[in-house]
Amino acid sequence: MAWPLKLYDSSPITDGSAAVILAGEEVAKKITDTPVWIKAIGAANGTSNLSKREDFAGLEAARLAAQRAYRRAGIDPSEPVKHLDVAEVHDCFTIAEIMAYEDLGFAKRGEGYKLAREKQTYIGGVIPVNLSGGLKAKGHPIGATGVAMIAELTRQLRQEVERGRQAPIRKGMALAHNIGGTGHYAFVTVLSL
Amino acid sequence: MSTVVEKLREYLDRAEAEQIRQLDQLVAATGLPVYRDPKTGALIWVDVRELRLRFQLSVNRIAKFVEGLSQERLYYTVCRRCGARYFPPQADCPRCKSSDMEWREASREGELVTWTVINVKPASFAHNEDYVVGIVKMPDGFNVTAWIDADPSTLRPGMRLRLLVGKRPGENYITYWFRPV
Repeated sequence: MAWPLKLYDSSPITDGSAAVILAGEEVAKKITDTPVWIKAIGAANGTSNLSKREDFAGLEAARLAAQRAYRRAGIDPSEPVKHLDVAEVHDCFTIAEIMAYEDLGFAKRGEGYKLAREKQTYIGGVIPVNLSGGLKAKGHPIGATGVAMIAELTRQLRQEVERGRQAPIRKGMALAHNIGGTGHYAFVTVLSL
Repeated sequence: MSTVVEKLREYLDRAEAEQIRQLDQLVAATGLPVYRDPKTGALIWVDVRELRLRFQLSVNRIAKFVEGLSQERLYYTVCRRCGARYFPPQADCPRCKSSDMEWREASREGELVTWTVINVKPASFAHNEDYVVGIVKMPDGFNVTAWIDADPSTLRPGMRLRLLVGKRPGENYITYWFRPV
């Protein structure tokens, strides 16, 4: 724990598990009537060395991964929330969620906090984020965290989530943002119905 | 004066002594290093073997940096092909893959970019009081991460810090750290 972050700014490292069935198109159609498709994956690396970073208000790897995923998914990078119903982002710390909003283009640089403050990331807002509770509220079982995002978004897109936690599904697309290390590698996954 | 290596060893031995004593008692009483966790009731096996790890890294290709330290000077490298600058110095340029590097001496003053206070230390730093680690932007075109010898409440982004090289008080090996100008 290091200032200015405090205990409750940090996600608890917990036990946990998650599972998905990953299958090709033909197999998926055989085993389910309600497949959720991987529309695009964007992956990127940055430097693990903090002193070599241009700034500390965002993650280069996450920004690049988002750009790549948006290009492949045909999402307008200037307004990605227009295309998305719901997102899960890697809020390992409170500040990490705000940086994720900005790296993903949900908000302009320096304005990510407004999304949370104006409740735009709640159900009914422009882009509901972390309806699972996120890493901070549901826990961060490191190996399972990324898979849990995909499992949660799959259930969100299929409208199988319990009442009170279900995002309205109108566009049929969801986004998972996952980072690792010191934020020097990132994956942005776009799922679709 | 005890060395930094001895100090650290003594601290860790003291911190672990009670744990080791309990483990010995447990093995003597039951013949097994196994106990029941008082909170969850789960059986826990405590490995009686202990790993100690000390890394050795080759600095052969950045020998100039090591020689510089011993003269209380700091050197960095500049890639002759693409101009990228490296501190601590690198013998190869990861940006353009060239190995044609020029050595230059680093400036000794920079501007504070960001910092934190380490309250909960990793085991190998646990013998230290709380310390400040910062990143400082140097005029040479790179940032330096190092300890800052200052009251953290007096630090401000952009303030001038001086890069010191030498034997830090209480230790006996040469390192570098910052202090407000």
